[in-house]
Amino acid sequence: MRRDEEFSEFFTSRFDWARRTAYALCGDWSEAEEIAQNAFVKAYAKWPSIRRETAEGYVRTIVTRVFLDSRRRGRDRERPVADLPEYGVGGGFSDPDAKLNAALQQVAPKQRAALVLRFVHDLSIEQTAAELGCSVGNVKSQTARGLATLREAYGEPVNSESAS
Amino acid sequence: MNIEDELRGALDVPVPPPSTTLDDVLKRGRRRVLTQRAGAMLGVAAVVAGIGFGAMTINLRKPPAPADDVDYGPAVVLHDVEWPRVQVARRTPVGSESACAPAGEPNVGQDPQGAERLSAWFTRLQGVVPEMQVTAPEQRNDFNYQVEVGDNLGPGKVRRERGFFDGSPLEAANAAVWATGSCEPPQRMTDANGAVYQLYDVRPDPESGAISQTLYVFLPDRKVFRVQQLNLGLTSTRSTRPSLPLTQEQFAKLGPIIAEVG
Repeated sequence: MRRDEEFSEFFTSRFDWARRTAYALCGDWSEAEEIAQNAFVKAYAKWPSIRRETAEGYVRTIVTRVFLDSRRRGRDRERPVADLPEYGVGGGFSDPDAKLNAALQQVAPKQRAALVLRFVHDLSIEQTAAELGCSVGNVKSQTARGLATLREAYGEPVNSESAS
Repeated sequence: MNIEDELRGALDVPVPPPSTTLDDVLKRGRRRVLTQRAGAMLGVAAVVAGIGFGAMTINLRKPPAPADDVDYGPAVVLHDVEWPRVQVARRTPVGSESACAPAGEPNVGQDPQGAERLSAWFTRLQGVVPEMQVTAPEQRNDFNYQVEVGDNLGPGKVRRERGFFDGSPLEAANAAVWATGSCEPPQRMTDANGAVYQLYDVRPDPESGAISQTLYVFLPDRKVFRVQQLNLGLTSTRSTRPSLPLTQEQFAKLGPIIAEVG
């Protein structure tokens, strides 16, 4: 089936990228995997109407919104599992950027999403607004506030380019 | 290195081995497709049953028609906009989906619209829906102006953006026939001054579960406005009311108002 072939190729090449994006947002590899998996399941359901050149952006949007939804609902992180995983995925992985990640987790979820889209993915303000479903002005203010919190949490002296 | 540069390298981290396999995703994806199709079929069945029941009920409550009145009117009156659809063939949906790819979207959202005009438009919008609460946003920006419109069904919003086009209003409207993901051509009206109004069918947003409707206004001075109504509150990313805040008739009235106040 052509749909499955194309989707499989996309999944193979981009699943780790989606996990990294989700990890930058949530700071937990286990949750990041769950978010990425949900995003790809939703993308599969819409695959015939997704243009290949925009598929990556589509998945990134879903990852961001799934993350924000989970924070809005006050997601309970404890989930029952039938079998123990073969390896640890819950934050025990050695992360050389642990300081940055820990600082990011101090930033409010929507501000964090704005920072990840703007700087990690290098999106414009307009593109970030479209992905978050909010106004350009809202992205600017969320970014500025997020950067301020991040700097404080990271312990970086104030030396930064403009939020806009 | 500043904090923004640190962030730019945030994806370059080692990734633990995944526990998700392609098979897991394909299985869940196929189940989701089947569920969506079943839901769509049930929805259609419910709508058909609802229309049938409603029409029957209205007919039963209607007083007997006078003998000399050959046309007592339809049982169900639809308050749709009577603008004709643009005469082009409808497009074929991609695969099993109901959506078609958007094409030719006018370039809007880059131009400030001016506080006085926005204020005038806001006042006129309140006049179109006097029974509803229309709330100006706390944070306005001139590029993408949004207001919340709500009643006891919940809040929705209306937003407007402005841009410019080349050529005549009709040429620009023709280029924007497929600007939304609808497979049906839009409805169109041209006024005496040459302004072209193009009203598109309601579209679902697959991510938020919300619905939206778009109206483009092409003015003779080469300004184009995109007006959209959504069943989302100003700060929501999920639908906050079951229907769009304005009826199609009310929404279409916003076109001539924009032509008047800019």
